[in-house]
Amino acid sequence: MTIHHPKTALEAVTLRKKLADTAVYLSGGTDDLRLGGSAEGKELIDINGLDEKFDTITVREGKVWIGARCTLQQIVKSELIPAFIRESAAFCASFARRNSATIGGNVALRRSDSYMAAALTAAEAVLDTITPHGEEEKAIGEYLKSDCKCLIRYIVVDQSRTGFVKRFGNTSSSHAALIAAHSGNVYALSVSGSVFAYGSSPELGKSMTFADDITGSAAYKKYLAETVFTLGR
Amino acid sequence: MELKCRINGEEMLLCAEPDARLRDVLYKVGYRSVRDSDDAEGFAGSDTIIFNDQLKYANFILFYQAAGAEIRTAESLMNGRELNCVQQAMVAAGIVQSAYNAPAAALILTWLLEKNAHPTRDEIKDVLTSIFIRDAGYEHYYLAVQLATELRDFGEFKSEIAPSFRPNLEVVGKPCGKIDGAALVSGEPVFVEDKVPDNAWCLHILRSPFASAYIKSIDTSAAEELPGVAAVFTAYNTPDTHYMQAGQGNPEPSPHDRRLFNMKVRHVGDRVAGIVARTPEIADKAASLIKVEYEPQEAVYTVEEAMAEDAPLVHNGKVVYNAGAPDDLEAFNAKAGDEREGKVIYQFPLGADIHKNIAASNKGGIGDVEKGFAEADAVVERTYQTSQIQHTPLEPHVCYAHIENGRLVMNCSTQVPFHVRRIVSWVCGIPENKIHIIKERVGGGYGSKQDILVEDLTGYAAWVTGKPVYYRNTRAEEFYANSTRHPMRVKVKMGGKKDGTITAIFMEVCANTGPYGNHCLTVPMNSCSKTLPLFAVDNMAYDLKVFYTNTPPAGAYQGYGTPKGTYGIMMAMAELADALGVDYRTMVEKNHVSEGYMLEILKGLGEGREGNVVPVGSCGLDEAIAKGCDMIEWGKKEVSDDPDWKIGKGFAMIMQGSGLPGLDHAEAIAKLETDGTVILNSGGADLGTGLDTISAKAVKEVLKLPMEKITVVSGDTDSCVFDTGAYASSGTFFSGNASLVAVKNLKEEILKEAALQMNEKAEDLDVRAPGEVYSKVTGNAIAYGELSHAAIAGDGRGQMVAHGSYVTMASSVPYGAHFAQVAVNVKTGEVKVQKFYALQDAGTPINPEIALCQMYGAAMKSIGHTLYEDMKLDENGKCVNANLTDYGAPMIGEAPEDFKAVLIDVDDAYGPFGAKSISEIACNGAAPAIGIAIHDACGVWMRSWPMTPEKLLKELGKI
Repeated sequence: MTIHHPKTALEAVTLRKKLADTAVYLSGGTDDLRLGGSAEGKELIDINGLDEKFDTITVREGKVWIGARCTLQQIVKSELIPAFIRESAAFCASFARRNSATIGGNVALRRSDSYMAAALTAAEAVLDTITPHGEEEKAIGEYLKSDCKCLIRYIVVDQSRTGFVKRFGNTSSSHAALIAAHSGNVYALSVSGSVFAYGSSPELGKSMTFADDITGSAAYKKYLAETVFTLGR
Repeated sequence: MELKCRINGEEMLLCAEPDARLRDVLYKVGYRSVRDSDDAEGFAGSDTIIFNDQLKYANFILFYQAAGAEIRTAESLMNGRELNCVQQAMVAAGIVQSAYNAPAAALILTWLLEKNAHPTRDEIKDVLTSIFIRDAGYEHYYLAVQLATELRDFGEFKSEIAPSFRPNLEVVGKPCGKIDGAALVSGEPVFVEDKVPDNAWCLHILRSPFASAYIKSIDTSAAEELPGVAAVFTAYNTPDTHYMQAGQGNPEPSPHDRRLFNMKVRHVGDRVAGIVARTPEIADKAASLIKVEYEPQEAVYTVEEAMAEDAPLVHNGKVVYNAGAPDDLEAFNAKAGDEREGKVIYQFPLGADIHKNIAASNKGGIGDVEKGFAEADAVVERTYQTSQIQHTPLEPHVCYAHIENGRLVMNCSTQVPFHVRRIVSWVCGIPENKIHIIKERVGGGYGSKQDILVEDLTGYAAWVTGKPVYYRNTRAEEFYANSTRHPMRVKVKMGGKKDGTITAIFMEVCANTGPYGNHCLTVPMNSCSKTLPLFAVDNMAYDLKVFYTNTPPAGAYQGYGTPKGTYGIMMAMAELADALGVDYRTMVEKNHVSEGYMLEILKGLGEGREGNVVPVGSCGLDEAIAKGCDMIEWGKKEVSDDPDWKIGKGFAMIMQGSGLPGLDHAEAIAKLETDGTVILNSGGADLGTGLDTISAKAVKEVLKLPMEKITVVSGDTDSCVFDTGAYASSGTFFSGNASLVAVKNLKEEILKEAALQMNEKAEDLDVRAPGEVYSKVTGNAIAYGELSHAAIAGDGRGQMVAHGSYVTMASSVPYGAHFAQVAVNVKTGEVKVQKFYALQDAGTPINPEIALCQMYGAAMKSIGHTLYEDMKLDENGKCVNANLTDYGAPMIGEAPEDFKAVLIDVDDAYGPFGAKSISEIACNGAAPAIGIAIHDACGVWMRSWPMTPEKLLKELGKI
């Protein structure tokens, strides 16, 4: 396995572009290095040694800037971050795993059972990224639907944002069948086996396509998607 | 590459490949506490370390990332040979059982207490999310933290660890720790993997991609020519010896229906070839060079498919009976198929018919069930389905074998060392005296290590090649190439009167044994033999059939058929009570057996022979039910503030056995050493359950020696005497009794020798602490050391040694009742177990703190089976969730919010010091208790486990 050690974010993203699909970024390692993980057969671009660490959580003008290399445990513990986003970080049930897994990694994986994608999208988070052509801001929803290989540096959310997030999974540690989040006028759904969806209607699930997989049947997930935003009402 | 880091405060220079996993490097350089239970899945936490002051999984750190790091492993926790307060507390709390990841747990809790001197329950729970505990449950981990803080702050434990029993005894019935606790919690090299030298060759198995196929041809020449390959084994160069992998008494009630390698593969993952190679990489390469041509056959996966007319046959070879062959055998064998089918050999008839895919069958009963149904005011007939479940021991199946002085020496993680020896002897074609089995500490078994699943081939490979050979299942292989709980379809018909009297019960059990018949008769038998005897009902009958299919194999699993039978029969009783309008508790109390009730139903329920009809002996059932009903406030309806959540309660009465009367056999040897200490050699196999501690306590009670002067050696076929093994809840009852007999016999030898040396009558002598013989007449005394020294002198009469053997026809049955309170979300189908109370009569719990943890562990496992765990197969029979995450193994997040284990005090007439078994029975209650509670909450009967939200929503008509 070849491991690259870029010193700057630009160097990293340029390398990533050059290596295309033969390389992945290595941050916390919980997905890359797990059994059958995304690093298998790939070169690694280790972003842990960058000069700028991107591992802090700060507030600037009412916005929380969350470094992409912040661990999920940092997110869970930070009182600067809106509660429902912290709750979504805790969907990674293992404490030790949360100490390694990073928010940037979780977003960048674009998994359909991503712990945090729904909550961050509902919060209308903005990604501060770097591409080979320079810095760029992206709405997280758009990023998740794209295959952009940019490197996320910060995830930025309104500190005052309130919302709701709910996970459905077989156990606390298994992959989620569905994660739903709602904040302001945005509803978001991460559904195992489906394309990530968000919008302004709680009936978002009605237009989605669902698939059978080990987390549950398409009918089950469709039902949840159509029901989840009515819970507690 | 080379790098420097600090490990446990010591500057270290390490050398490894940059992309090596740090877990592997640490283990290799000697930090044996950093184990691996999940092949880097990031689930089980056995690989937890403190990395730059944070708890992390070492499997997720590459070697180069450790440059300059500060690393702590569990080896750092000891002060010299002294355990730290957390480790001491863990042993005291009873949670150090199979203990494969106990060192990691100790490290986690130590880290927590360093950061937070007095953590809350939620804070403890949060860090314990890092680790998968399968044996002891999580409940006493909270106690361990409390004890650790007390030890740290006050120098002693102040909280009650467990209740004490039998005030007349010193250590029996008292929480005193576990004699191997320190070794286990500190991470000493006590497991098989720790005994493997660097020069060991690896055994790799090429497995079938097909659920059913003949091997048309197999070309291993390229693999054999690969440098570093010692041998490639296939069906074409290994013995034509048919055997089975079930570790049962000989002759076994399981068909001998497999060879080391078969010419027909019968499940995805079945053995095709075995490669012995210098390294795993060479073995992988060799496997890729083997050319196999398969002839795929149609497969069957369910009992319904297997029993269908013209169903594909899983076995269709010649049938042989070693005893009791039917008259029409020749005609039967005339229908045999392809020669590659192999043979099926029965030790005696099992009611099998391989031409109908029936591996075994049995039927019987008492009274007249039809008359009973006719007399009933209501009859229910319901079918309950259970899924395929994996044991998931933290230590996977593993074996190391080598040749020493012309003998085959095997380090095993097994529940049955003597059965391993016998089966390896058959497979290798060598006598038992040429084989030495050393049972190491067992990192979790739960029945799966009652079967000889890896030792057969590993032993054969070492014997044939002369190489030291190491084999270890991957976690995925644990799922698809191991053994599992038999999926079953249990149909129960039950009739009753309006006053709650049950008039008749009929059970039809259809079990799926997979491709081979390990335990195929006896597991389903237990579904009836450990449930029907709970009922004082005159008319009861059963009919069980076991089917071969092409699913991953089934075998022994803690509870051994009983959880499924209990699920069916208790749910049916609740459904009958509902139909009759009778309170379920009233119906339970009206129909269960009590002490002295003659169990005629057992006559037909033997293990392949006539059963042993006995009266109910000691029985704590009444007390368990009454106490549990009080605890859970039976009859009081709970209401949630959220209208979507409905709350309900349920319970189930349960029973098991304590070994197999008339079949099990245990022996031990007790020796008085030259300095007056005692070494007891027990044939029993402690798999983390505290069996060795029970033997040590027996020595202590009888000879009044301090515990530190007692050593127990167990499970070693050279130094110990025969024992059938640790299964069927036999450990305490059989092996414990054998130890007790041995030490009582040793006491007699000691008194006889002392009488000669002291010139007194033996009947005037007795023993007392701290280990001496004294005269009740003269007051004279002689210490054991002095006595022994003289006995082995040149003119002495020899070392005092005694042998104890235990067999019995007596039956000591543990009883209990498990209670659940659940909350069900009727909109989402979610189920939360709010309360779970396990009340059990274990006779005298010899190690009460360990007993409680076994109850927590088994109940937790059973809650997992009931709600979450399920092996899923695709349409081709491949397991698609062969990992702990997707399989649904329950972690601390799934533990009940209020979880209690209660020991009901009953003294038994036959068990050692009045003890009965404790652990297996605790697997039996959760499914019916939770199922009945769900009905109480929302009105639906969940007749299939796991009771997932999706199934619940279907029952509620939502999807």
